[in-house]
Amino acid sequence: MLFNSIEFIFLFLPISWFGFYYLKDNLSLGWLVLCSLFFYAYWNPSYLTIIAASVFFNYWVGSSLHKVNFKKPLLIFGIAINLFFLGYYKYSLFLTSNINYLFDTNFHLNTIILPLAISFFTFQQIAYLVDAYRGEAEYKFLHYSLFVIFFPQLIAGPIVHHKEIIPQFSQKHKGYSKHITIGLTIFFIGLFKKVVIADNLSEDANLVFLAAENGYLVTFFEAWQGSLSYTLQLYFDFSGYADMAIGSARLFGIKLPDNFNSPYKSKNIIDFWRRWHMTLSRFLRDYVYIPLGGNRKGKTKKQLFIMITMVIGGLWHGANWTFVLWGALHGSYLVINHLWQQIHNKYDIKLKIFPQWFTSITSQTMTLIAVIYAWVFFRAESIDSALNIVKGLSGMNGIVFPEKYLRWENLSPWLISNGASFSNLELISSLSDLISLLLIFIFGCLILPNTREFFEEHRAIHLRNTFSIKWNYSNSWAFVMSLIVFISIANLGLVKEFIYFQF
Amino acid sequence: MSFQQYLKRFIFLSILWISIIPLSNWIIDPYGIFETHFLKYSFQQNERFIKIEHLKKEHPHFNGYIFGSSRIGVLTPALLNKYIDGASFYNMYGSGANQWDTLKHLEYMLRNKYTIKNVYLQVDLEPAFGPSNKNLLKIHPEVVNESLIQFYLHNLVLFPYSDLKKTIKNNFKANNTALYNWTDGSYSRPRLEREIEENHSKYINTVSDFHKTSLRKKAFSKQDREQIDQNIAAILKIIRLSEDNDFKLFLFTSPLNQHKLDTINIDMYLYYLSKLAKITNFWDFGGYNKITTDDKLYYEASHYRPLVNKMIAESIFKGNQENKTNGFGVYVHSKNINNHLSNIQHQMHSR
Repeated sequence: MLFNSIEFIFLFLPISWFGFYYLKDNLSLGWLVLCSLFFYAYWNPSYLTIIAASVFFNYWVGSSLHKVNFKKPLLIFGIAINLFFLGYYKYSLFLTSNINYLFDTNFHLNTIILPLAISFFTFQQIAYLVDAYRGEAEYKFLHYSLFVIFFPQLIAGPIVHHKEIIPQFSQKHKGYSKHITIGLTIFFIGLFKKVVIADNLSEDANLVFLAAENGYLVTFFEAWQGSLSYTLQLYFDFSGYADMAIGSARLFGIKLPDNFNSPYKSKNIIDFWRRWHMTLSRFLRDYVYIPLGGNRKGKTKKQLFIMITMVIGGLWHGANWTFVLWGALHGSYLVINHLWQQIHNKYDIKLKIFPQWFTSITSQTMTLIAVIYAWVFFRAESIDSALNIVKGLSGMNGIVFPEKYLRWENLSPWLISNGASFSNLELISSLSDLISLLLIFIFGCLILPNTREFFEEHRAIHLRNTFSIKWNYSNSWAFVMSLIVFISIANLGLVKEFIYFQF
Repeated sequence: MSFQQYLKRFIFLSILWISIIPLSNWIIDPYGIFETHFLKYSFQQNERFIKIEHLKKEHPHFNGYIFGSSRIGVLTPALLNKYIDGASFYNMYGSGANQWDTLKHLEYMLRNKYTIKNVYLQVDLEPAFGPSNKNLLKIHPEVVNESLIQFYLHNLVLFPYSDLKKTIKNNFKANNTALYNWTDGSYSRPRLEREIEENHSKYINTVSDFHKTSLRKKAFSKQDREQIDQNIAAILKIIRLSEDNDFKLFLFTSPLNQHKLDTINIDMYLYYLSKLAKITNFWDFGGYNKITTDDKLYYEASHYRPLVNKMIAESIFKGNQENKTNGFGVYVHSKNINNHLSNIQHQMHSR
């Protein structure tokens, strides 16, 4: 079931809330478990057994870790089983095709349908096992199972940590009006981001990436239009999903962690990974990078561990070389960023010849361009089509203006003499869409506060001292939010899946 | 104001706003689903849904069905009835229909014991396959074993802003170019017919399709190839249905206008033709010939006029000599397919 569907908003969510509200204590939690199982089974009932088996198995291993003497072998066994199933469902086809390619063999596997959310619930449970091994996790089965399958976060995160969720199940939640008010408001802001912004950007992105896949040489403006559309689509789609997850959990009095903090405002790549998919970054840091050795084994090894962590992060997103490259690209960015910081600190470099605003805008733009280039690999179906678009972005497939701009009588001869050309392009007919994308970007990603800032204890958000946006429980906000609800519901006509569902 | 007061106002206002959606769907009825008829003109209606609702009661009056996209929508069944003794056709065309639509409708009709003696099937040599996700083109839910109530609910709660706007605008302008005849399933364009008959050169000058530079699609993608294969597999199933259920199948390709043909990838077009020839004999009215290069026989690059339907029927049922001379209509079979493909290839490369 999708958050952006009529049945979820008008049937599932109210019914599950009423059940939760009118039942008491463990019954209300049991009711949430049942609702979450229904939510998962709605997609494909046959995979219910996989998630149920996974919950039972991990709980058994986790609680046994407190009792047995052979803790380490049991932990390794538990993690290995989790990784085996993740590997089977997610990577076996990829592995087989690569073996066939490398060794000229002909192994054949039938198509395996990836169980929804397997990457998410596997990671969450591995974290639980590791903490159970450390003696930091001991819970009732009801609480544990709800932690794994709680429907708001089940499908595409945020990747929650048991320590921040399970204690909330035992708390008596008071002030339901407050929870519902804030929950609904966050939920509908997320829905607006998804159905009004992200879904409307998908067409441009799909057009360009499909053309690249079909061998069409994507020119400069076409490449930028497609890549920028995707950059915005992915952010509004995924952060919209996160808002809907956080909002719907809040209806039940549960506070989920934030997953985004205006990532496109980042001034460097290290900053970007503190703002983008924050719960995944946290997991990779705590359960991959630090166990590998982190920064405890010298500077060179630290860079190696960063690369390994990011490649694993790339592979986590999908079984394709494009994801491996995306991870490696971000790994390299991070290594360069860390090296630069080392040099910067060592030689105390200060770029005082430039004003503060200039260095700030330059670093922000450079970070953004690096991120956009990497998104191309993340979105493309193959490395060839990604390279096609990367060449386009760099102007290597020609800088071609739509034919109608030949009417720029003063400018067009100069552009032509400098290598640009004019033609009837297949993917764009004018530059107006690209300009609109830039405006959406500046306004939606840089100027407006993000959901976290918008709701943080209802404080006023002052933006560069020019204007402030303050959410509070007033008549005018009730009116504005009801309009947002109307516009979002009115855009539900074509239900589109969230991008992160595929991971 | 307390949270509780805020919440009450927010929910009340939201419900007030949201109630606009089903109300406007009911009153404006942009796809003709609810048959409320508050407005005089529609913009375009959900042909697939309305036709099946009509046939639920009226199917005993028909024993033949015309299938294809909107291109064949202007074929009046009465014209076809003249060529086959005892035939009584209904035009089951659907805008943007592909062979998935044809197969699903045929299966539904056979499941519901419709009498079928003849099927007149037009194949567009374009790759699209499968159901459309556009509201206007949604298939009748019972054809694909889905709930009718859910379909009505869906059409009440969705908000097709641009279609609602077009329907209202159309009523203000009284600018209805297509007239539907649900009793025989066809549609007509009397205003355009009148304009063309009065002065076809003037009409041609007003249609941008006939003047803009056509760009041939450069790549024949993997996705296109897969979709053609799916269409071919569906046609094969239709052939099997015709054998098992003893109905006659007349299969032919659309006479695409030269300007449309100019945009199609050559490899894709030839692949479709060769694949089709492998599973059945058929009439090919495509390629560049005296009819497809005559713009006055077309409303625009995608849709031909009713008189072309007459020429097609004349070729299929009477082997019309004049059409043969004009290169319009080649009966393709395993022995002449290679020759035919090289002719088409030559025509396309010579443009």
